[in-house]
Amino acid sequence: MDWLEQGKPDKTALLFLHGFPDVAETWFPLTEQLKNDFYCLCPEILPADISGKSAGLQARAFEIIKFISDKNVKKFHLVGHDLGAPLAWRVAELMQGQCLSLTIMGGLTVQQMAKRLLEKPRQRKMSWYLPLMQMPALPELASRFLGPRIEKYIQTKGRHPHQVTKDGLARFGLYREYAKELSFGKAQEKISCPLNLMWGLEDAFVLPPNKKEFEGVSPKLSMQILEGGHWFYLEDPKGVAQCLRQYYQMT
Amino acid sequence: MLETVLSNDLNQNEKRQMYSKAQTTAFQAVEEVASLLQPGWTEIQTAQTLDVVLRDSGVKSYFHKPFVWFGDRTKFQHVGKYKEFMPTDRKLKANEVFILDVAPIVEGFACDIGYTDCLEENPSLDEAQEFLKQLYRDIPKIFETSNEAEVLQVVESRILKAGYENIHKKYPLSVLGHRVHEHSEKAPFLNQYGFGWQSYWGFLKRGVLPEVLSPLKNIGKSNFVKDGMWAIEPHLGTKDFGAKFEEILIIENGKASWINRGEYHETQTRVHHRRSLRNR
Repeated sequence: MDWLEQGKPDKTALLFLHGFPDVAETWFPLTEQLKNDFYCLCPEILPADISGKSAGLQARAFEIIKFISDKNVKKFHLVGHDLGAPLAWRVAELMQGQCLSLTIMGGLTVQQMAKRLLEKPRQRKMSWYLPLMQMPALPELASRFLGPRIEKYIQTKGRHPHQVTKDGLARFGLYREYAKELSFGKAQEKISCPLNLMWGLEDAFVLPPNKKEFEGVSPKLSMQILEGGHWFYLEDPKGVAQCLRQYYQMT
Repeated sequence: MLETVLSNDLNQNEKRQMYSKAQTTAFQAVEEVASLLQPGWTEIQTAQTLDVVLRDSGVKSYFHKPFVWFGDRTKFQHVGKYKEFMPTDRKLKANEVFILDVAPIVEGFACDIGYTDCLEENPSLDEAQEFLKQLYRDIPKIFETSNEAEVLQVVESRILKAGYENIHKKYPLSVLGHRVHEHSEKAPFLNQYGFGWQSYWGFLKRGVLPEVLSPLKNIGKSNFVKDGMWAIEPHLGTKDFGAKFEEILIIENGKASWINRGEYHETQTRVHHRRSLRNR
């Protein structure tokens, strides 16, 4: 597994899990702000069709668990953005003795997203692409022939301030892997660490959460809605780093 | 013939090596998962993780999919129907005993292993493991010197005499063990209650009863041929938990030996070492 690492291992560890169409390096502007106070680890998350490993959320989570163990990290704060959110949630569930807090940025677990899609027409409209992502080969074909258009869409609609990489864009497979977790009528799994929700006010892909949606899933819930779009942490890395720093001091 | 015989060209020694490789692959997966297992994992998540590790090491098909039991389910408390053996949403607590039971088919050769452990110090489990260790040492001799009825009787009486309950009686057909064979790895999606089609077909075409060490068959009338590959799984129960080991015992011309002697206990030592390094 490849990863981006900043800061010294003797500091409190922060583990960042990226979403789609990002790569580990997408976290760089934020970890650059945090590296003096924290040990930042950003693993590269690859779908099974690229890595050649087993598919599924549990498979990706176990990779992260092995990564943490190999890095000899005992306790850590966890941050998951976009598609990194369901993965971060699973890791927090599985590593409750080591995960100090979970920060979710602009993302939901598969169960939460399914509930949203059923209940909120606006979320359905925002997530029009999700059913297409489930089609075999269609996203790959679209990426091949409409790559520059998709990149432009992500940059304008999603306000992604950086160049979307082809490498990141190829990771459609994660949508298909995670969707298999969907189980109707199953309650959201609880986590035992504090939960921090950070959202961009103008997120074009995932509606900002309301506290009711997350009631009872964590012993302590806090919420920060910040200026910005889906990639708000890239629009203002300094401000987001400050918010995280304050949150970790409080936790 | 539904099942493809993959290994006609292999001699006995090469076949033995393939079974040995299958068992080692299974124990390596168990070692990986058991050393990272934490309180809060569900049986389903743990079984999924075993599946992930086994598939990543090249496994395509199973004799049976990974079974995982936590706490009182290790002694099959409230387990009656076949589907209740399957992994559940039950979460592991730090002081609870857990059992991982995996049976992959590796390059056409099936194995079946069982592993018992606890995340915390557990003197009652240590005691049970000591008993199982002695039984493990003695089993080859028991097989060499006893007929089928006696094997079942000796193992059961030793379990009962030590103050434990016989839990392998609660397995389907109350088996103390069963034969393992070479199987096709095709159509892994065909399975029922966690068992691949290969295991049903393998048992059925050989007449079921010669395939199992079970007190349910009419032992007096059976013509028991001991030679072959056996997955032996004595399973005992205390008031709070169950404990077992499972490994392949090879019997050739009446001579019995574990296929990889001591693999269960060596795995346990390595898991404890890895866990202690992590917790240090």
